[in-house]
Amino acid sequence: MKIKHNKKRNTAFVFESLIREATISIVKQDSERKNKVFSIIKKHFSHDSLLYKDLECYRSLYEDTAPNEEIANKILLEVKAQKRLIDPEGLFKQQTALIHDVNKELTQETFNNFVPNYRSLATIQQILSIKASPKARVMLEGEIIKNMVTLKENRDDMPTIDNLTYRQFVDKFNEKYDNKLLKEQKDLLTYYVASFSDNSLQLKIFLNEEIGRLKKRLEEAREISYIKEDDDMMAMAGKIVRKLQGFSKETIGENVLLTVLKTQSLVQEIYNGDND
Amino acid sequence: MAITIRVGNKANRKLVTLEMDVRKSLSGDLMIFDHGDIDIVLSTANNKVTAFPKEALSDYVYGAQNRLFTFLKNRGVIVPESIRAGSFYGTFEATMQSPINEDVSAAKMTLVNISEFIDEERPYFEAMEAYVAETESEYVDPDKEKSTELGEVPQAAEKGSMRYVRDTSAHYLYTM
Repeated sequence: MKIKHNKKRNTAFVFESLIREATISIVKQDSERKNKVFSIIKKHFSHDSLLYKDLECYRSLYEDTAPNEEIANKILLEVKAQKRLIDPEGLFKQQTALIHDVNKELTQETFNNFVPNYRSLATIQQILSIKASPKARVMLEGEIIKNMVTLKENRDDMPTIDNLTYRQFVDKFNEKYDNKLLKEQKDLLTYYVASFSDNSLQLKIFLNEEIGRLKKRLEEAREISYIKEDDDMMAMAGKIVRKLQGFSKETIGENVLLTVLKTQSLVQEIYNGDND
Repeated sequence: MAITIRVGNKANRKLVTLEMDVRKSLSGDLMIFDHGDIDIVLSTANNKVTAFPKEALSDYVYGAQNRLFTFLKNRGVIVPESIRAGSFYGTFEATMQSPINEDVSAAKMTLVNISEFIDEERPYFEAMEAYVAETESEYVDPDKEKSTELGEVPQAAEKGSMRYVRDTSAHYLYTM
């Protein structure tokens, strides 16, 4: 079933593309472009505009979920009735003005932004369009209803966590690890958690320094009398140093993190622990 | 028109303006992201320059690290014998020279030289990025001449009119 889809005339697709454009501008810290996008959205999607009413029809079908097929059917019927109340000529003119503003103020590339649910949006456009054949429309309606019900089932799978549970979890976590982790271990975990923001560079800088420090401390530890006199301890210390040396060819992973965390504890124990 | 007259030793001092993609870490290190293959870190606290692979370790990365430290060594801003491999994933590092003149900042001089190195390399890594982007768009969005008349074919579990079946005698069959 080949159905032609004009994405620029799909109100929800254009809206989602603009939201993504704004997100990209924010991430790139391009405030001028971000302001342009927001001014276009404010201008064309004001609450009394036909585009906003059209967008609401789309949203009812792709954002909302239904507990069962019967209710999904009713939502679909109501959306179709609402859509019939929108003046198609007026909507077409507003869409044309919106496309013109996007092309003029931003670029045509805005329409090429990846919208993950573009297939659903295209299906909804066909359902709401008078151009699709009755058979095609009924089949597409079935698909949308199925999506609405499946979405609800998937959302139900996720257990909701209330504030009390969350607070207890945080308290227990802090209670368990507050005094158990060393400062350098906390630093490592902090850099690891925040590593998504800068291509892991701060984590790499920290690991480069920390692994160097650990190797040096372990080499020095081999000169301590109680280690020097114990062949097993000497061999194990040498083994750990060789493992750390191997990290010059290994990228960030569970193995590296766990080994560094354990070695940090070991070094702390050798120099500050009770050795009796 | 108002005329500004500067008097004194600082009057003829030249200002250097650099344009780079740089971020300062909490520890005060300058992280330079401009190069296509490596991230360069200028650490004033440890008085050293470190080059990290941007993505995976490769000959291109090693080549870029080698060229960076050779460039800095030839400019006299790092100690030649201090260039060595770091402790983590393909890292290279070197110590900055200590300036005799107290008015000269080793970190600032190194930063200017790193900027010059990046400007020198920019045509190479930008050409490489453009080539990769072009190749990718050629595959995912070919022009009309290289496309089939079917156009954009949506994903589906089953394609075409031939159905694949497996019979009990373990022969593989296709049916129309």
